[in-house]
Amino acid sequence: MDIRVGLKYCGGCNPGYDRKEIADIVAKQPGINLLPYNENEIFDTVLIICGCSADCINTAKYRGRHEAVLINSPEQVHEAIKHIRALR
Amino acid sequence: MKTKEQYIESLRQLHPVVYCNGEKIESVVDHPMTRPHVNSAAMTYELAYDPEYEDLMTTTSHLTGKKINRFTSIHQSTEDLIKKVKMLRMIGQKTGTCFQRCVGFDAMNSTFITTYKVDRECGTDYHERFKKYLEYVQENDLMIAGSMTDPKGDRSKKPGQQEDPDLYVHIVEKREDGIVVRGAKAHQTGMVNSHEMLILPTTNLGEEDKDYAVAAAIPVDAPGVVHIFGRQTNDQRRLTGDIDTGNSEYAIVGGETLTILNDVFVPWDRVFMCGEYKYAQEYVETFAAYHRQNYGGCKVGLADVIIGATAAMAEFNGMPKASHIKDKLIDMINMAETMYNCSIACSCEGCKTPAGSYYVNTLLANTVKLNCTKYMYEISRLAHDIAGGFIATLPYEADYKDPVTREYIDKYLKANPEVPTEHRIRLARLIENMTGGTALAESMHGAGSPQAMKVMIYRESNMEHKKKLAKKLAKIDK
Repeated sequence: MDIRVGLKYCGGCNPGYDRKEIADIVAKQPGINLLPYNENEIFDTVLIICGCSADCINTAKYRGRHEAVLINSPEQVHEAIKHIRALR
Repeated sequence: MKTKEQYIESLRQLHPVVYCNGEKIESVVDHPMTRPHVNSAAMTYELAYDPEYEDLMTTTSHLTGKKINRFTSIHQSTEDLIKKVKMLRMIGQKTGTCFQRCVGFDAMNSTFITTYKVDRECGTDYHERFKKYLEYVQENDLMIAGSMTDPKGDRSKKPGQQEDPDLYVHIVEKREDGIVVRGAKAHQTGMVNSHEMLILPTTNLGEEDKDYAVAAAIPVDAPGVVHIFGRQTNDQRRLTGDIDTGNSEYAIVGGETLTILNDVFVPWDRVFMCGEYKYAQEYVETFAAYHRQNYGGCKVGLADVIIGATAAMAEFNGMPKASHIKDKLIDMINMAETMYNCSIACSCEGCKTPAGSYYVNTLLANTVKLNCTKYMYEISRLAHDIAGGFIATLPYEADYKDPVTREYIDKYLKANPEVPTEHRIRLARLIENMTGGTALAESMHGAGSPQAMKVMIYRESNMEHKKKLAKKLAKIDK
């Protein structure tokens, strides 16, 4: 069964990279079902994509069955995918 | 929350009296002079539904617990103040111009604080009235024009001393069911595409001016309200095409008006100050500080666009690697980020008010705007320097579209062979329109003129403390 991941972005005031491109990479991974975050749904985890290292989004608000996974630079995407897969 | 489409549709239901260039505008949504400003304000609605931006664009109402557009909220923390700045920067990057909705946002936040204080000290019930009004604004996701600036007449005289008493908005009648106000508000950003205006005093007032101490919410199409749309640099270019106007989708600045209030009736439940002249100065200063905070957000978003356009133009001109160009671009970035730093700092150093909401650090907020009055000019100057003189001498769009002359223009205004001439012209027009004329004057005088900031900065700085520091080190006893 796919891992259901809720996608949440920071506000995007001055992102250092294209956050959507990173989301697209994650969304294409087999075994990961990336869905827009919705507070009324329970996800296996929440992927939070921040545009910079300030991580100004309130991460504590967003979690699924497992702790949220946070990305704040493109280099972290593969590590994040590995982490999400390990939740299976 | 309203969607972009619902916002635009809601404007169609209103019938404000708007005059522009000798004609009466029947629909601000459909008229080419006002439509770009509608588009710009609509961005504040559109982005609230975009998952990529909703964390900045939305928040939770402290009144109802519901999700609301941040522009209708009352700041509940320093984090809210910071998010406001970030939100403004982000929207500015997308519109390249004023999106108008911050003025009402600031007017509502300053009214929240002032009405609480007036009620506590005068036994009035303005705060409860205002909270009910605010809930109505939040529920309907209304765009509110913040209406502070009166025409002011002879600047050496207070409102009551003016030859014409209407040069400041004042109460002309108090009735059982409400009040009647007369006067005008000038430089009214976003007025014609707002749902309502929130008027507030524009200066400190004495007892003799107590009829001028008035705050109230008025629909933009209330009987007696007349709007005269302001003229902007190059604004008629938008009537003849989409190249020469530079930013055809959103235009420049905020579609300001001179708004006349001809004996406008306001029911009591929409009156939030009525004669409490002692609180006018604090009201104005609170509003001004909130509004000056903004300029390190929205203007930095615009600066991001100008810097990007300038860097791209260097590439289009075939000079992307010249060290002096890179050096100037770095100067531009440094100035933009300095303004942003000031806005973030005045938000971080904000504090909780007795009303429970959060307010910026006044001293630091004034430094934001004072820097803006200089840096936006300098950023624009460097943009002109790098882009080249052709931004001032380009042919008309009509000539570019004429097959006879287009051939010549394409041939002789080409620079980097990999870049189509039209792209170079389009970028040049964007730079021209974002860095000159009305756009610059707005950076100077929006949220108050530089001298107003200097007065506040001096007042808020503890000069005696600074002198004591110096004397101690110099071993001066007295």
